Amino acid sequence: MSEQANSQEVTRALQDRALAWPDLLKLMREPKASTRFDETIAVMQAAVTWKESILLPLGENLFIVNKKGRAIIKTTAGAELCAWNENWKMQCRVIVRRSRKDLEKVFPVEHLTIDSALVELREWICPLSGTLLDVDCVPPTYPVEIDFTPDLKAFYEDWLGRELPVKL
Amino acid sequence: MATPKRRTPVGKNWIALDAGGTMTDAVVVDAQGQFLVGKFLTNKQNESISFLGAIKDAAATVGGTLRDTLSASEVVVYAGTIMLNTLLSRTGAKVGLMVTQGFEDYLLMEKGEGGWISYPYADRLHTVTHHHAEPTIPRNRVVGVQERLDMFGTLVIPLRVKDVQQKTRELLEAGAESIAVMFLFSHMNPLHEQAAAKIIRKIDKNIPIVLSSAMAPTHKEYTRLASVVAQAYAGERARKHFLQVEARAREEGFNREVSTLLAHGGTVPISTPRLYESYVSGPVGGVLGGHYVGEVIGSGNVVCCDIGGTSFDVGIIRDGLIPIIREPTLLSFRTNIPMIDTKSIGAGMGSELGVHPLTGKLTVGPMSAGSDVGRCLRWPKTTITDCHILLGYLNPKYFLGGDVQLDLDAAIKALEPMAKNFNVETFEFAERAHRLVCDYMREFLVNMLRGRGYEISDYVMMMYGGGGPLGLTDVVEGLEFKDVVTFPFAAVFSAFGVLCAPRRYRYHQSIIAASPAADEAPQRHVKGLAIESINNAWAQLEKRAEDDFKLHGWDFRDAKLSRSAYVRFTNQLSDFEVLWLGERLSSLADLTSLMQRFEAVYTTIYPSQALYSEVGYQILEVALTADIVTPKPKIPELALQGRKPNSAAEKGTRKVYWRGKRQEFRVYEMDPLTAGNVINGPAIIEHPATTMLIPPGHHCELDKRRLIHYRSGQK
Repeated sequence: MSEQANSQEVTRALQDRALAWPDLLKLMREPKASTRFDETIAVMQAAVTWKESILLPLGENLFIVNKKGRAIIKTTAGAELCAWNENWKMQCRVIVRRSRKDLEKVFPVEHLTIDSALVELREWICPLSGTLLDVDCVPPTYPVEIDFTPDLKAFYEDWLGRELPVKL
Repeated sequence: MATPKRRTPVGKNWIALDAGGTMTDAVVVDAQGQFLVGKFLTNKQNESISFLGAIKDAAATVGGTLRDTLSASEVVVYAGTIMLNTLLSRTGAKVGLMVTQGFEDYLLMEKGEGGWISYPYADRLHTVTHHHAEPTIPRNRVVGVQERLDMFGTLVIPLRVKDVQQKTRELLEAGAESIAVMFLFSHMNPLHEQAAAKIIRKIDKNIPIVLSSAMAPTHKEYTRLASVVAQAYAGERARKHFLQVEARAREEGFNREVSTLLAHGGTVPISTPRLYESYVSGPVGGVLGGHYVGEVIGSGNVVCCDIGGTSFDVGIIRDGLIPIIREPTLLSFRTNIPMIDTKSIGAGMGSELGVHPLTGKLTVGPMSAGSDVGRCLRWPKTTITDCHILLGYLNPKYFLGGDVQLDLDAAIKALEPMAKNFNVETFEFAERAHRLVCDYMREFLVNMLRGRGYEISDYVMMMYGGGGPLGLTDVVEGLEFKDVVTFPFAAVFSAFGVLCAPRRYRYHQSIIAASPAADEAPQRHVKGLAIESINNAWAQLEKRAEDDFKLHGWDFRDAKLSRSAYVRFTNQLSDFEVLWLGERLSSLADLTSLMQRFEAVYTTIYPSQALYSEVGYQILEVALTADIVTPKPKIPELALQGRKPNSAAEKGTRKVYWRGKRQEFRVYEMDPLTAGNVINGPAIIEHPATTMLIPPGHHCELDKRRLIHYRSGQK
């Protein structure tokens, strides 16, 4: 029991980036603990105010959650963006930086090596809280794409070996 | 090997302490060569506590006191972790570093390997585990000054005095408490470093200055830099800790200087100017002990094996020469401290057992339980020791002489599910686990020997460490060593070895010299220059030795000097140390003879077809050792007492699982065994700190010095 509680503490510290380097190194050297996924979810669940249970994190402030038996994408602040397999960026606020002047607002000038004629920055913002969810650096006219859509069913059934708690 | 009824030591004692990460071992040897052994938990915050504690523990075994023992002591050698701890705890001095302009980031670059060099192989492959520690000298205390010498030490750009003055002030303003100076190619010519030191001295009269050319003038800039940093950063702090230890020893009646062990196996008083060389990693003591015992029994070829709880360490002595490596690593640094060469693997008698999550195979180590032993005591994971308890190799009621009770049931409970996982019986599983760890050690040992082209039958194997006598039989299985020797005091052999160390300094100096193959006038000229530069370098090193001797008040005329040169075939990468028995090279014939000696060394490692004399030779480094011959602890010769052990040694029998079945093994106590005794297997010899296993079909014999020879067959 105490070992379990300890393991949860380690995962919390890992999630909070509070692990000292020697502990982190030890963790990396060990085989992945089978309890780590559930512990990570528990830490994430404790950090949000809403009740829907998290199925899988998509980013630091972005989760696939179980909303009344359906999988949807939700932000930490509580904005419900779309279904789990849809393009959540389409539901975000966005800041597009196209000119050098715009870019200089986020880059120190001496480090600004990207050419505003070739690429633009798109900052995807949570519509509820204004939290930055993701950044794309793409050529202008590039379509709005998300990084990936996880295979939720395979992850739960084949990897975790348990039933997926939502209907897809 | 304290026998129960031993007198209080009389006359002059010799004391050696070997402070490990867990325990500090003390060995006290009196004038008659009698041993007392003590142990104390290492106190890293204040090593004087464990220092005195271990000696007190040793004295107490014969009812003596700390004060009596210390006041009757001639020599105390402390091989500790002080240097390492100073570096690890990052409590060193605030060093300012002055380098050649343009090389200010050298330290940060860590030779491209500092992020993983201290890692085991698996972690080296996984870049996520690579890690750069905070630099010992922050970048704002590293300054560059304009100057340049070329690789021959010739002046290219003169030292810019203004630079030195201004940068020195900057360093002082940044809070530097000492200044290390390290210029390119200063090992060939110390001119600029010495000039810089004078300028710094004018600005600050007291600040300690460390020059790379004065400390370790060998080629390879980074290793030299790392050594300079180690000395400047940790050297003086470490000396303070050493002085604390010495002060406490004096309070308890000791009235001489405490000495410490240097990495190359010499001992020097702690007033030595280059204390960074006392950074000792690994089982240096054991190799020194093996070398000494080898001399006593007349064998120049010795394989020194140390089985501890966590690791298995091997050092190979060939032709009486202790192997030296010149670029050992010190934490994340690669330094140029000459160090006794030992190699280790993370498998020992306390190694954890596990099941690999992907392959499903049994894994051993590299984690170990240390002093927590295993599930049978208080470690959460199953270890090899748990197997030993179950198999009957160890007596759970006689661990550390009965001071610690081990729990057989807990060991069984831990092993049963693992055995089930592999579909074997629990006993069989335990035996296989033991044999697996011993297989790892044997493979490692054999690779080391055969990989260097050595013949196993030329070597005497010496096995020690707490787990040595237990692992011995499986580790040497099938290997035809000339002799296999272990010791009643195997558990503290490393501390004993420290006592065998000579008082010695060792110096290295880079040179550029070549001995071409042809013998026409131009080549003879080059050879003449080579002779000159080798002789000059030796003379320089002798001067350094003389200065160090003066510092300790030793007479340099008593010094036993040993000169050597590192020779390689032109443009090959490996060079080898070649001893020169004379004082100087006095003729071309001498140089030729040195090269012939090199080829003799070369052909002990490579086949003679690999000789490449046609390309000539290069000599890029020379070395000098300066010894004072000091008495060594005696291993007394005793009268042989006959083969049959006396009845005091007999402790009955116990069931031991050996090669698939439980068998009766006779049990003996180690200390009452006397010279000449023969123990035929199956038998177990118990000692508070170690246990020896003698399987059926083997025996061991105690010779006139009570060294234990392990042999096959019965006698």
